Amino acid sequence: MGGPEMAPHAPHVRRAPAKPWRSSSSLSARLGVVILVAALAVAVGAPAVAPHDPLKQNLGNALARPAAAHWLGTDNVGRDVLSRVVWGTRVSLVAGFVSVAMALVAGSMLGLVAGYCGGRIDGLLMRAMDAVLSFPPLVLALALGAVLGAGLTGVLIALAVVYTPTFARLMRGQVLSITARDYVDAARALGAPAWRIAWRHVLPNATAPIVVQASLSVAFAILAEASLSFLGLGIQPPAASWGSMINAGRGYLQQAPWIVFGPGAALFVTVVGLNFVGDAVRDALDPRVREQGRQV
Amino acid sequence: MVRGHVLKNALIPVVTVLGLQLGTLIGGAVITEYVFALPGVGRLVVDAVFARDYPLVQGVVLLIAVGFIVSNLCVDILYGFIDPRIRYH
Repeated sequence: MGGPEMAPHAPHVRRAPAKPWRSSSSLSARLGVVILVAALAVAVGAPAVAPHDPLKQNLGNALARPAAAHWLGTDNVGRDVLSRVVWGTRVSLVAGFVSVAMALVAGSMLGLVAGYCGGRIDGLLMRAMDAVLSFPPLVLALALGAVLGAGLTGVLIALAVVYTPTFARLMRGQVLSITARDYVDAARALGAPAWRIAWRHVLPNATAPIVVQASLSVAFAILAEASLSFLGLGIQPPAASWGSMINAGRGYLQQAPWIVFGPGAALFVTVVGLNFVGDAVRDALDPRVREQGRQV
Repeated sequence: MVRGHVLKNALIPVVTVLGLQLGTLIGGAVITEYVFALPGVGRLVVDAVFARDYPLVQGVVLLIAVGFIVSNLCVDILYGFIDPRIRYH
């Protein structure tokens, strides 16, 4: 034994690569971007990409194996699985990006106000955030979904509420460290109003970790949407969502595993791609931010 | 030597993640209990959601949250045993 004693909570600082795009993770980053762009293209161009009508039933051709006519087979009422996966991409990406965007805006504003005002407002807001954080994420989303009702809007709001405290805490920590800097004192000495200091000086300098957290949260939000859809709280039938397709195909796993395979593979590839992109953004913007927040 | 010196110092982040993962675990248990038709709290909360039984939803969610908080409290207490230098004031 020997060597210098390490404090257990010594900050783990990894030096940022001089050219982040040339780092060892560049291959996975490129792969992630390719997957993300492909998923976005499929979501935007769903009507053109999908080979069949995702809702058209053909009971005479139910549970058909993957073949030239139906690349990923058909489900229990003869709908084309590939077309439903393609249309489900829209739901998943909307759920991932919109819920995280809502959480980002709400959480950043709350964190900014709490960190900048301090005192009683800070205590009140942060205790409220702690209260939300004390629930396991998926259970809270389920309970909120029960109140808001099943459907995409309910899921979006539920996920936004679940993810807001992470952003609020992150932003508050940033604001606390930035308001102690000299340029904030200088702005204050020059007579700048509080809103101007917060908006023009504090906010732009606090964005890097927030962006990193957002890019990593999208993948988890997509998984959470699939989980809620799987449980029946997401988008309602007959519209397609990856989670609800997996749930619907669950009963046919023995006879027709391809019903579950299509959406499952799409979910897996999209989440892996988003995680690659998120890791790359983290490496490029803020190497110190590691394992922040919680994950569904 | 490994057990006395290395393991103890390496255990702190492991215990932290252990406490945080419990929340994820309960969330995952909701799905698992639903798939395998196990009569657990996860299944109970899903059934309560679809039955629109709001008091039951509230109760179960509160129960799970209390369990989550208690487990995190245990983690905080464990820190003191793992690393005697950690003191709470």
